[in-house]
Amino acid sequence: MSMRLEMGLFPVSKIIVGKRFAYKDETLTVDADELRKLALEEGDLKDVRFDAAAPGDSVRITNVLDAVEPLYKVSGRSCAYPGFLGPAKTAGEGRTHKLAGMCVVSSTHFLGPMTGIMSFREGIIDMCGPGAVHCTNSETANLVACYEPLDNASNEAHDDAVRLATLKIASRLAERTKDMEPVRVETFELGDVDPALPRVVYVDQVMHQASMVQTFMYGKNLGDSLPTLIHPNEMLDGAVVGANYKTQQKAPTYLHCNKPLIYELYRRHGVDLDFAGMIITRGHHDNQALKERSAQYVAKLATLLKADGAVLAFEGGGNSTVDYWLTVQALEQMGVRAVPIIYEVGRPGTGEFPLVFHVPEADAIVSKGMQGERIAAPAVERVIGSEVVEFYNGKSVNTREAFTLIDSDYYASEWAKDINNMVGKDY
Amino acid sequence: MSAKLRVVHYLNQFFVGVGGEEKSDHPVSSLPGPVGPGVLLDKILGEDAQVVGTVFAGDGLFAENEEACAKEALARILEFAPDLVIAGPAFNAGRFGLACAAVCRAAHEAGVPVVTAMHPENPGFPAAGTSVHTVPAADSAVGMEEALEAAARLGLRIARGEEIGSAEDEDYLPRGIRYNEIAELPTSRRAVDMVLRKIRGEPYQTELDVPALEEIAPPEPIPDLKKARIAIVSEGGMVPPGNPDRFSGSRNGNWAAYSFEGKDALPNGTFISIHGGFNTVFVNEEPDRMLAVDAFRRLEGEGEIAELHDDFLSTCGNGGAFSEMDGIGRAWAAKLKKSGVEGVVLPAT
Repeated sequence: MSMRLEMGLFPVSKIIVGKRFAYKDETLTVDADELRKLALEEGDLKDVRFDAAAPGDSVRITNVLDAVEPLYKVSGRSCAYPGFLGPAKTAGEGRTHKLAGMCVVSSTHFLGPMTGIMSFREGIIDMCGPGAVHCTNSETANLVACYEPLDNASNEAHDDAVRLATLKIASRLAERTKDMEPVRVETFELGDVDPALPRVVYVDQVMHQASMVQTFMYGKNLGDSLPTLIHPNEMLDGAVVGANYKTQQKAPTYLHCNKPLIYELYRRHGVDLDFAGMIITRGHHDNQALKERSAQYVAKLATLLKADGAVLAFEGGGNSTVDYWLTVQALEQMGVRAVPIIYEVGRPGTGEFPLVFHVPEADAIVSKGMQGERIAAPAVERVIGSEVVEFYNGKSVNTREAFTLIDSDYYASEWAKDINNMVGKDY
Repeated sequence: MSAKLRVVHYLNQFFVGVGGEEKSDHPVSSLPGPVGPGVLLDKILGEDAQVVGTVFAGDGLFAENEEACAKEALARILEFAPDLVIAGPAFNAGRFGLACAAVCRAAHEAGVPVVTAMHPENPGFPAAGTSVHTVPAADSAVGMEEALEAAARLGLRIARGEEIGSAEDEDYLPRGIRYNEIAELPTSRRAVDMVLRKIRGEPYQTELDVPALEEIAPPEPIPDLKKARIAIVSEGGMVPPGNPDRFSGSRNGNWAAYSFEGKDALPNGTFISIHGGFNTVFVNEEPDRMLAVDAFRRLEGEGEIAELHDDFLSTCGNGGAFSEMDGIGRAWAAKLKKSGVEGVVLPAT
């Protein structure tokens, strides 16, 4: 029997931090005390306070780790975010309630020493102004949870605590709708289609490097994983949780649950293609042999799915691009036509070489534009998170004031390029 | 109605009608109004603009004295107080194309809007650089009218200070630079459209033509390692504690030479890595796991290499711009050659 998921949607365009849960006319009122108790119940966080921001507000959110969509399983064998909020039972069927168009955004700082990759990199969301298109979640109504770490918390422990608390808060909010009638119900099912339609697989390369740069699947990070199959419905239910805090490369959990390619392939399933399923693979393998093994594995899984073609999306940077292009090469060599989506590293107007690595088989590339545009960020009325932040280059900035930054200093800017339809063009 | 825009047309001795190859040493000259194909150009420009003057030179003379000829041509162009310079079309005539490119660059630097027209394989096209727009022309004068129309259309827009879009939208030759735009269709839709075209065997157009990189031939092997001085260079972000040269962990453009003179190994605390792209814990505990001075000193002691160069050259390559890293590499090579270094080891991250 095929996997069928009903997504009951409760659109949210405004959030009020209040004393009692209410949902009416797209306005969500949250019970801040209830959520605070929930966040602190494990005893691994010192404190949390809540604030809200809506698209267009003169608000800048800083120190962002993740953005999580409120999901709750009304029926089905798993919970939402399985592996974190309950056993790792297969998600993607039954009925899920979702507070749509909003996220719970985690904002925090770390007390332990930071070294190399295992550092928190500043994440900024501008809810208005020219930077809004360069970050994700400027388009969602956000309930921001600002967490205080325990005095003795290691960075890893604090990261784990924030992740779990944020998932719990998000799911609790959606749980409050369990007896309510959704505004709209969307159904996701890969039903049988005309066998003559071309079969297309979605290959999603996510990031795993170390603590602060990782991705979880059913509660476990992808450190030692091989590429594996996943049903797109599992993604919609939160089977994959992001924990990558490299500023522009971050893929928020919200995006793992809303990958644009999943919706596009579903929309066309049975129309002009047969959505053959998804393959999750991690990037940034430690050496060439592991990168090749991983690339070969993806291509083999695609052929087992009898895929005619693959569309690929990517989270990461330099090193990970080698894994990515080798995967494109392996797919093409095994007869699966591949189209990768990539951002360009040549800065606008410079004529710099646009990629870190490339294979000749990648002759059909979709560009999501280049990094390196300078953005004049305006002064804002309110900063949620710390007002003074330190950028990656060590520069300290008061984010209440106007300042200049590069597009890639914004939260999840590589994905913002994707969802805002940016493209690099020859001039 | 504003006054007609003033256009100066740049041509060579042939198109002006002075003569062929035998007249290719003709000096830089000018004539009022349109000449030769300029008459057609003037007609194409219509009500909006007129050819107020023609500047021309022999292609041979220009090729041999490019700088002086461009300067002279510019002086004559400026005498006509132009709003726009249209150079060519040069079709696939190489020397004429290079002259058009040089004239356009000079006029652009003097603040005059410019456009030229030539065949994509004309060496003048790359020579025109990134500040000059080149519209495509056929490889011979049979494409005169089309090329003049294209040059006039784009040139007038440039002269009016209008914003010029992408090469694809405006029909000029891509100049090797790219900018961001918002696409009409969503990213995911473009990807699925493209893969379906690829599967069906239909034509598809990549959105990123990846330029070919210069092939670098490796040098000859070192004839005798036992006589060679070897240096260590690294992009691993290795700096003395405190990072005195302020390397950035990403998108860094700095480099420095640091010495390990007199050291047989690099204990904890001698160097740290500020690289932002890998887990630096182990290297910071034991800097030799990046730089391997301990191993090289041993090889030196055993006579496997003549000498380990006392300075190592350091930068941070994480997210570095290609051209910047290329420049650093060239600077390093020059510096090391001067120090008599014959070979380098490059521990990378």
